[in-house]
Amino acid sequence: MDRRKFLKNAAVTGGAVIAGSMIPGEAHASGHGHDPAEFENNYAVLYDATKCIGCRICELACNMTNDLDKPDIDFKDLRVLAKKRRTDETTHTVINRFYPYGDDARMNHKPVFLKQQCMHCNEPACVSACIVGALRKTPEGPVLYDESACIGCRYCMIACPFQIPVFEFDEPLFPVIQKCTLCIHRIPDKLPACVEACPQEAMTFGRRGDLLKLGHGIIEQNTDIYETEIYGEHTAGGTSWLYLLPVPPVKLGLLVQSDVPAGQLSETIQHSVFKYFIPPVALYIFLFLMMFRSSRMDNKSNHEGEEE
Amino acid sequence: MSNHEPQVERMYDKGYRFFTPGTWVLIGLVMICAGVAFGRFFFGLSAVTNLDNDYPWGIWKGINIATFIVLGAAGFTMAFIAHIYGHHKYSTLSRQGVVFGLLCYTFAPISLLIDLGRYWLFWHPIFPRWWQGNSVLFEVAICVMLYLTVLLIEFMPFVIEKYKGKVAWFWPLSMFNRLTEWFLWIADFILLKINIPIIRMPLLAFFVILGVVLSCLHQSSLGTLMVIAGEKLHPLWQSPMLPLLFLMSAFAVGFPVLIFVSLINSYSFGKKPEMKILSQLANYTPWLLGIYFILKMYDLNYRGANVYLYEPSIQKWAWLLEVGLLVLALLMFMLPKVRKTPNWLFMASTFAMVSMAANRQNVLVTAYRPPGVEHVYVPSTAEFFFTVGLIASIIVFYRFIVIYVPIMKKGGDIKPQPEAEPQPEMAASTAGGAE
Repeated sequence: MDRRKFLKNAAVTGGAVIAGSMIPGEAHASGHGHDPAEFENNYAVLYDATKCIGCRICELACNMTNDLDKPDIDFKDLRVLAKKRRTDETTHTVINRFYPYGDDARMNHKPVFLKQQCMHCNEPACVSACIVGALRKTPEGPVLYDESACIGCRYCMIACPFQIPVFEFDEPLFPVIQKCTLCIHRIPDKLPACVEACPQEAMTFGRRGDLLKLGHGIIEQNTDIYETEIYGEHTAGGTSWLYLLPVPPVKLGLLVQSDVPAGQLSETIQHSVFKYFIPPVALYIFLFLMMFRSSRMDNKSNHEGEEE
Repeated sequence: MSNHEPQVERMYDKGYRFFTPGTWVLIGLVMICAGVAFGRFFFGLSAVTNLDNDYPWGIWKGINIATFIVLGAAGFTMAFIAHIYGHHKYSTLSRQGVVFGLLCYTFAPISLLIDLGRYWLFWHPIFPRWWQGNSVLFEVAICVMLYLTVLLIEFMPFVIEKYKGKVAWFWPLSMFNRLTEWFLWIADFILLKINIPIIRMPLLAFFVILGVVLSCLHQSSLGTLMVIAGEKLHPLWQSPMLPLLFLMSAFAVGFPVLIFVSLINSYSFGKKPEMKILSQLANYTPWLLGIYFILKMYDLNYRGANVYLYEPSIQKWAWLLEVGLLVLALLMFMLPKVRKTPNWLFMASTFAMVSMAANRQNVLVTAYRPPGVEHVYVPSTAEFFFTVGLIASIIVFYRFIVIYVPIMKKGGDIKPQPEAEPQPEMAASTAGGAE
């Protein structure tokens, strides 16, 4: 079944049955519905997958600038690319290798590399999920984590559609969630470490609005090379990382296709149930009246001496 | 409500004692639990669990929290039918529901403390500074905390009834005798003695209603919890209807849990099963289970997710097991013979409970399959035994409460009781149970 159809159906059922039955009118009550223009000035990075050669220098740069643990296998060792990897405690960005052309003889097993890190969504699911607001979307763009608030429930990891947040499972007392900060400690004086380190200059750092224009310009001039859509322009409600891809995103393991922010549906349900506290209060009053009625009937029967 | 105080007794007066060989075995299991907790607190979660960055939640969430909470629904469904709907014949059973619910809702957060990475900050969600109104988990946490308080309040009258004016802790707790006495006196005054004018109900009544409202809220929100996982959750379960399904299944499983608990109680304390009243309770169950089943099937077909039943996957079998048990329970509850025979009724209730437990475990854990991840989460031995230990704790504490607090209905004894003559002094001097 087609994903969009699934989500659309999902939204219809959910909205109608749950929200609709509880309150009349307005089913969309969430904090979402942002104007894309709001995010135009956010810090963002445009990544060109066709330029990436999978050298893992960005991984090393990320490790160094964030002062992370040393990995078991050195960053120079490219054999790790044989297996699909995810972000972990040693690096908040990873390069994965794909063979999207398969047996296409002209391309002769040409690999395509894909860099993955926190996408810094415009409307992040992790921020929507976090029980204590330890994750927040800053006005500058990066999604940042505050360990002093975090209780370590790991719900953000359940929520993130890109499987990005990392948790220190081996830390008994002070485990923290780790993820890319878009090198907030470096900008605006310096570029994010991975962007600066890239020998291929596959990444461009800038404002989201400008980068979208730049990206579309590149696509227009090279329609034979790139997919027509920038991955991240609308994906998951829009992200700060924008990918120029030579093949459809699914072939590079980018399974998130929906343009709806991942947290939107659950927020809609949640805010419908709690709309001005009307449904809970109404339920309380209803139950109270029911109890009142039954106790009145008891009192009556007691006075008449007909107790069971 | 006070007109309908049921005829109850504590099992201590029937000569039953807390420590038996069985209790010791259970306490042994609880000790394993402590061992696992030790490993977790000194060496981290990865030392005892199979959790990793791909599978951040395991059976400690699926069983210890979600399942305990759905089985704890016995508390609010019984409170509703006995005190709000006004079927006072269920009052005694409602006590067992409150106690069982209280224990489920106590051990779920205890498990959460061990599962939380930064457990020493567990209190953050209580304070407005950290409130996050968009978070489903926040809503669940607040409602569960409030409902636990309500359950304690609902439990107080049973303690007050037996111990007010008669508090006699064993040494060294005996120094708190007067304090406990004061506490019980104040609780009694506030909850039961003040009769609100015009409506003529004690304050307790308002807490009972609050308990039902809070239960409806968090039982459904537990379903919303996994909606945010989107496509990471297997389509057999992922649905915007999850909150409604969770709520309906909580309604449906409340009575079977009560029947299960009551039958075990009757059996282990040598009483005749209260078949008359249990059968009446069982009469509601096929309707509730039926509505849940129809909703579940309708939702599945509406989303077109039934195609996934023809694809090979672990999830498919988990789903078939869950729904198979549900259908079995439903069919059994539909038969009058099952509803009237203790053993059949026990079996049907067990199936209903296991089906709901499987559903919670499936939604929170089995259905979660992040994209591009090849390995599968299987709980470690330590995780498994920790869960077993928690279940054992519930049984141990349940026994403790039933022995020292009047929960069980009077009469109905079928076999000679262990020691017929009551020993009031002994009883008072060893009695605990007051908070």
